Amino acid sequence: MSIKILQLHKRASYEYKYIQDRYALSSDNSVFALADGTTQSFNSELWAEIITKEFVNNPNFLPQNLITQFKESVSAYKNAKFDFSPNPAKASLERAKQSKGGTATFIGIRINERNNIEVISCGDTNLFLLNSENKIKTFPFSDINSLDANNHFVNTEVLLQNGIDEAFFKSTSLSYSQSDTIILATDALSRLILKKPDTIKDLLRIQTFENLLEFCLKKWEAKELEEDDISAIIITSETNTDIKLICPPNKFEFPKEKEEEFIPASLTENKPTKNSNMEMNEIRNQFNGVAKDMHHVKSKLKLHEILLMVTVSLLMVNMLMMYLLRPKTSTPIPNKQNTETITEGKYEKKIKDLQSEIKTLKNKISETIVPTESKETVKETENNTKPITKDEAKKRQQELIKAGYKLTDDGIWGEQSEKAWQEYQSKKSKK
Amino acid sequence: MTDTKTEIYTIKKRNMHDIRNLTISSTNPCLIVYLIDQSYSMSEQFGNASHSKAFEVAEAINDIIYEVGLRCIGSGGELKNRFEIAIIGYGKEKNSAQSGWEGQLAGKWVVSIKNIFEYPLGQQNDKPIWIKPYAEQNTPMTKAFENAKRLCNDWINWGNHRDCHPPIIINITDGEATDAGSSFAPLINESQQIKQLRTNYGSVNILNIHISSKAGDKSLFPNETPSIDRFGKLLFDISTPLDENMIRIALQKGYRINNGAKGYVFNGNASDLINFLNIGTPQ
Repeated sequence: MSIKILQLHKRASYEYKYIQDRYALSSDNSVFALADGTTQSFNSELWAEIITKEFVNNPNFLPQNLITQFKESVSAYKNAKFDFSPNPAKASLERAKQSKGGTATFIGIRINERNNIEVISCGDTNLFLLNSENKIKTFPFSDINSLDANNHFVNTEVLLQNGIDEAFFKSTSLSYSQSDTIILATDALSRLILKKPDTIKDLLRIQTFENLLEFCLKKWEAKELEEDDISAIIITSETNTDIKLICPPNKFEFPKEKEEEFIPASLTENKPTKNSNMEMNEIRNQFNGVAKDMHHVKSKLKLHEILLMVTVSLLMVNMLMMYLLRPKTSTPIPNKQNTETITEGKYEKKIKDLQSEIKTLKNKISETIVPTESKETVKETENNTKPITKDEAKKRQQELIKAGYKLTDDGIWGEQSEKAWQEYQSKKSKK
Repeated sequence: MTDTKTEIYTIKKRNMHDIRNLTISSTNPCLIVYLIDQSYSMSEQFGNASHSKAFEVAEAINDIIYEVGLRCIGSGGELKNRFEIAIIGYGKEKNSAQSGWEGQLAGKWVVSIKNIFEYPLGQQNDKPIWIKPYAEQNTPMTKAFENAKRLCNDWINWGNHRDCHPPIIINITDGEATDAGSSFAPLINESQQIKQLRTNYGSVNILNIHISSKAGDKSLFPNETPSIDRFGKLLFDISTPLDENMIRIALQKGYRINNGAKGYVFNGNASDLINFLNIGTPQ
């Protein structure tokens, strides 16, 4: 038996991991199941996976038994951990969807050794049986209208409420020849095959993912194939069992559309981000104009500031000059301060008179102590020595050397000589 | 039969695509513009309810946005940008119509469903909310329609939007426009200009729900002018007929309507309001 599984996610899902179709198979038992989780329901891919696996493990072709079996599987769906969005608004949507349950279509088959195929189905996933003469048998739908009219799905909540009737399931037994090819296909592909049966040949030729991608893109672009997840299980009779999965490789993803925010240009509030080049230039020019004016105003202000400073400085200098150069004989102002100034002046004059009197007296005293004998004056070397003649000085120095003072008799009478002389005189007078 | 022939002829003549072949998707999104009357009269009680009309309208808009979110969320928790939504409030400030988005979305005119769910205003009963009820000033409805016209025109001419579902304008009001004069000429003019805007799948739809509390029978999606006040008649006149999808949803909701029924409801109750919004939102 050769089994080929084709799967490609819709472009809007971007990545294969988001495909909502699920399949399960047991080649040993020749049991196959395919389910299409609906986009609008919550975690539908999980529900599709649960029912396909459940069917392959326990194939059941009696509608009521299968309904009971699926109903028992709902707990596995409900107990599954789901990470709600951290965004409270989105999480609210997810909870609302969760409350409505998971929904999927279903088809299950078993190929018997008696050369017949048992089939059970609910929803618009279809079976095609192609014989060696290229004649196609279909189940449950044989035309697009009846497929589109289908309104039955397997929903978890409806199952729990016993709302799924046996009539929702269609089952049959089809005769099967070893040369026949069995195709199970989800709704988009089924619709295409029903519309254009020849497409089935193209489908059978697909051997690689590139073939599958090319096939789907071509049909999508031609609007022949609905933009949906694409899944098919193709079974042909072979001596060896060979299972081949043709699906997108890990790194494959459809390009994401550019998300650009629409901003209405004519409603002024949001206008700045959508200005034309011309408008931008206009704004730039206006801005430059304002900046220029601002610069001009600023420089003018600076000049005014400098002028003001100069004026103030000149005024201050003027006042200082007026104060310093004011006339001293200015007319007295009869006030207390002026009276004090006059009194101070009087005392200062008296003090000066007294000082000059003291000076005169001091001179008289010194004259009485040191008589002036020689007309030849000795050049004073120190400020406090009294002028005496050179001879007199020499004479005194010789007398002092005799008395033991260490001096030279050079006739220059300085302070040291005077000091020694005074000391000698006082000693002499004491004796 | 004649209607179908005329319709096919019209489509061919205008070189338009058949809207029945269009799938609203993130690459071909649909714009819905909600015009919300926020005038003072919206503070009046809504029918027999204990709350105001403004409250009822805000609840209905929050519900419909949530409903749109449910239609757009994928199995992996990702929101597909299938819808872009604008909310234009009029009458919150005198003679002014402005964006009705609040919080982080304040000032934005059109927001994608993805961003709407990123920035709700808060949560109420485990559900996000985006707008609050307001009932403040007068009713500058013409201004609101003028903004909607500009917005739709810009949207249609942006990116690939010509290949998208035509925008849908849903106006919810309880009274007469205060900026349309006695003849309502400016408002009629704006609505006519809006109806001339079109994508390759048809012209812009205008739907009106008139939640007047005046005496008078309910009128739900009528084909002919209902016997109501002159402003009600005006809103009926400016409304566009429901398209095929809208009729299908309306029939599913239990409304008995005929082909050519207009997107107009007068004196509807709370469930009519939410059904009306659902019918106006394509699936």
